[in-house]
Amino acid sequence: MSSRTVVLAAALLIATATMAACGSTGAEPDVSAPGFGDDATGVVTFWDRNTTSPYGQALVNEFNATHPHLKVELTQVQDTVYVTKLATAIRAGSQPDLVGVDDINSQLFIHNQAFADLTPVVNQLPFLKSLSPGQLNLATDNGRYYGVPYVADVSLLWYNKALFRKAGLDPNTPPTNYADILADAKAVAALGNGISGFSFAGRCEGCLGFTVLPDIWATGTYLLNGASGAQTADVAGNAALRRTLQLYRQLWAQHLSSPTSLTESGATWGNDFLTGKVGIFPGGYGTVTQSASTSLLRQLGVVALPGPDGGTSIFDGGANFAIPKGAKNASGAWEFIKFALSKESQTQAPAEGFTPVRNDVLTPAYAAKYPFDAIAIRALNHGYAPKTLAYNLIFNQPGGPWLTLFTDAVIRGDDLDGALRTAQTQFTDAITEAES
Amino acid sequence: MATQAVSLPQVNRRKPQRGNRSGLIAYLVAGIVLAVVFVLPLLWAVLRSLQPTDLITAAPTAGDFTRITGANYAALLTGSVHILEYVGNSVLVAVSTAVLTAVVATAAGYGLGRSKLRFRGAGLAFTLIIITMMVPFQAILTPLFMEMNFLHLTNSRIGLVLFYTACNLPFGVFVMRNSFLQVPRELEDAAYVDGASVLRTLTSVMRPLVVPGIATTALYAFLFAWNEFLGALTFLTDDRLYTLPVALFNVETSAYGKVDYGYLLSGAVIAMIPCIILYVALQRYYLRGLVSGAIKG
Amino acid sequence: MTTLSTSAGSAIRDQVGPADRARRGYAGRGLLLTSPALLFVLVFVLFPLAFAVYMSLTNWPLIGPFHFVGVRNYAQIGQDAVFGASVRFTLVYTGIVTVPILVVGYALAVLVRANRVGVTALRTAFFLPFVVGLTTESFMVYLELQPKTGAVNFVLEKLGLTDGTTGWLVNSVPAIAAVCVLVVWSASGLTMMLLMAGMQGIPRELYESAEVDGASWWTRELRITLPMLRRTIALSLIISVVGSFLAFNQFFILTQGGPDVSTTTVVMWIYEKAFVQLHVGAATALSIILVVAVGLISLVQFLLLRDRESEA
Repeated sequence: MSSRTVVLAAALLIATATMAACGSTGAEPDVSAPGFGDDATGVVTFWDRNTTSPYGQALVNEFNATHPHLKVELTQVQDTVYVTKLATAIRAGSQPDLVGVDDINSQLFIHNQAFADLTPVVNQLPFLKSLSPGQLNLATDNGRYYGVPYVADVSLLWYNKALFRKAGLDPNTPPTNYADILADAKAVAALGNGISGFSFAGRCEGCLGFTVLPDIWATGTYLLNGASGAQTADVAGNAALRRTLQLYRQLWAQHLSSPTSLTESGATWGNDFLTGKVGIFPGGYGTVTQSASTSLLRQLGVVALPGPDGGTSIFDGGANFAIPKGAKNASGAWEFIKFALSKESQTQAPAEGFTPVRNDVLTPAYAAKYPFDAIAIRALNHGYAPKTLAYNLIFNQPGGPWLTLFTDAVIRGDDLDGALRTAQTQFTDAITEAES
Repeated sequence: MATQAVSLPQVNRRKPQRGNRSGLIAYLVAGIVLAVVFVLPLLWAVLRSLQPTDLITAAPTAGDFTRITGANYAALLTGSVHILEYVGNSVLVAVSTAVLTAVVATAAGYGLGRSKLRFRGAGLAFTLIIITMMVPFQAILTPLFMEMNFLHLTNSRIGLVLFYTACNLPFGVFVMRNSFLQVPRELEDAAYVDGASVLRTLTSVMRPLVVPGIATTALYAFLFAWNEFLGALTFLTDDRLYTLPVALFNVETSAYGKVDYGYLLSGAVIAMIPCIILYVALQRYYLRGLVSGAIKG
Repeated sequence: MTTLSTSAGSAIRDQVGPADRARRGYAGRGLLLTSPALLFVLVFVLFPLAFAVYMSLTNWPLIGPFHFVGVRNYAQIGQDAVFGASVRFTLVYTGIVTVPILVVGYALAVLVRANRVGVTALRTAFFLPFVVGLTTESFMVYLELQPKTGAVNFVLEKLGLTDGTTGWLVNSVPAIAAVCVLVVWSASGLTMMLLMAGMQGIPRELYESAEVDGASWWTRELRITLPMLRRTIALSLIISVVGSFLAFNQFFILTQGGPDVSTTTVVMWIYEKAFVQLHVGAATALSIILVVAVGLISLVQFLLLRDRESEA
């Protein structure tokens, strides 16, 4: 009996060791091979998030119509399960040839060596310099490119010119710093009749990360510093963060924000602004342009998100293309990427609620057709997105450190120093956990 | 025959109680009211699934079921949600699980339940199998995923069937061992004396006596596999392999576009029907399983 | 292993009689017949358990390279605020549903334990929600719990109990309440069946002699039924407590753990940590704790049960 136990234990150990050794993520495609990305044949499987897939599907349809030798098959994957599904598929060796991943999640896969190194072919792109810098940065690691921007989804500061006019403000002078925002919000809120000066989504950590963080970046300071693997959090002593939280505290405590700001968890985010009841609304380009009525759109103004004393930034959100290692048709995938990054393709983005990732599509004609998007494209040059493994843990997790900080500092508002100190610890812990 | 362990003990025929008539009326009233409470939500879902979409998503008005339609089902069968594929996956997985569990459990039950076949370590083997009932698969999901992945059993219906079979085996082996323990020894001995092989003895002599156990085992395995959600969610990544619960979750979270409550309700009704039919038809075996578990713990 | 026992069998073959030899052969077949089940248990339970211990000592991501990190995953559990919250919530949820399931199940069992008119239909009716299962039922009530289109608000408003605007699934307390009602409705039938079978196993002479002594219905129920049912009650408690501890489907489907993480159960958090955040190593450390906890619950309740029995 005991000898059998030994045999059994040994078998378990060997099996464990075998499985442990098998951690690879698939073969690296040879992107330097001659003809890579040209005249490929066969089928390219493309997993696109449901948020970007209307745009993706339009591109795929055009591509398939013009490329008889190569067929792209788009699979729509729900945003909330995208990481899970892609990771498990990579693990199972059933990864697609091409992914359109939330740019903020790019680093997660790059860090785990799941994406192919595309540096040689990315460097050959003639428009490399025009690509959205924030998104490209998220696809970069140690100076190597593991992806390229696909489409941008940026946050901007919207304001209602009609309400500004009613409140005696100049509709053509948008707020450019915190003092402006506070004063304008006060003036609009004073209109009464259920009109609010400001609106935010107080229970939606993702929305708050998207729209509040750029205010801080506008000063050139960041909450997370350093390269992945050795990152530090700058929270407790961050003056820009402190001023930003104080601004939101004032906007809330002085009843300048819409009452739903307290409970908004994202599902109906911006609806108050879209019904014309709110003066100033930090929100996404698509959030507003896709849902606002034409009459409302005519009375809206938009700017990049301002910092405390001026300066601007935006959240360079959106999607990045990447080719998973082990892809069966990497060449075809790259051919489609080049097609999707062409000016012709990119100029279709605004109609689907997105912003092109190339600033060289901006021409006077384009600006006349998409005035709001022209502002978004210009803002892309100051765009930023945190390059970290801890983003989801800190900013996108319900009840995570970011939402806790915001709630304590803005809604409770009785102990800003304490909230910042707690957050400093929680941010640091989250980084440690994410990088472990 | 010691049927106590596997069959529902017969009711004590209590002495007619005092106030029999009022007691009966109270029982009937309470019973009917409670039955309505327990069954109405299920019936309600069926009714709702027969409403046109505009009524389902409109603010409810009292019992507006004037426009009954099979439109949701028709749309489900022909539309963008390939429900038949998912039903097909579910049927395939659940039936395979039921068959495999029954076969493996019957073999083990025979091997462990007949003194003739008693081997060294049989007690240990039985304990080992039964004790795994106490290990919830939810708690070993991560190593299971890694292991099945290594064995190429993730994103595979075969993998799911093997996993479901493993989940149902402890109970199945328990039931089958009990069934074989109750076969009179003389019957088996007679067969052996006649020179019958193990397999022949099993199939010809004991079959009538252990078929109820097999039915119980297969029924539980089927229902488990039909309703299981977490494992299917974790182990399947390809949409085309999804079982019904995972597909319905995708409908609910609007992976196929806007949440279509008509689809969701009619899909849930489709998921419910086999459970009810099987239960009502095979109630005897179902309860037998429950009680055997209860008495033995 | 089979080879081992066969050769052992042949070694002693010469010294034993033909009857024993036949027995040996049959015993080999016994092992052979049992081996597939053993293989399943080994591959799908025992190995994963052992492997879990190893994984919990690494920083294993779902994909990519990893290394051994010792007990760090365990040391960091204290900092995992969501895990703490999920443990608290799971305990609270278990506390809330366990007693109602037992009480409702008991009451139903009393109602249907005797063979009376229509009793089979009643048993079936009460048991159906359990047969259909929580997963399917969660999908069914998802619509009815929506604030504007759901029947729940409509009915409650008509009854004058609420103003009909409750957002059942977006606020913690209503969400927990709704799921608990759903679970009690769905699971009571199982407890009913178990208790009913137990009640029917109580010798009726006990009741008859009590009745002769003039004991009332209540007294008989308290003095005879309850004590006799201890085993069965403990069993139904184990089933429902362990079930609640492992809750996933109903919350994953109805609340997705929200708002915030207020309805995130332990299993949900382990799933999230492993398959959304890709920290499989850390998630496995939490799994090990869950395995131990569930094992302890079963053990404690079994011991409790045994002690009580020896007292009686």
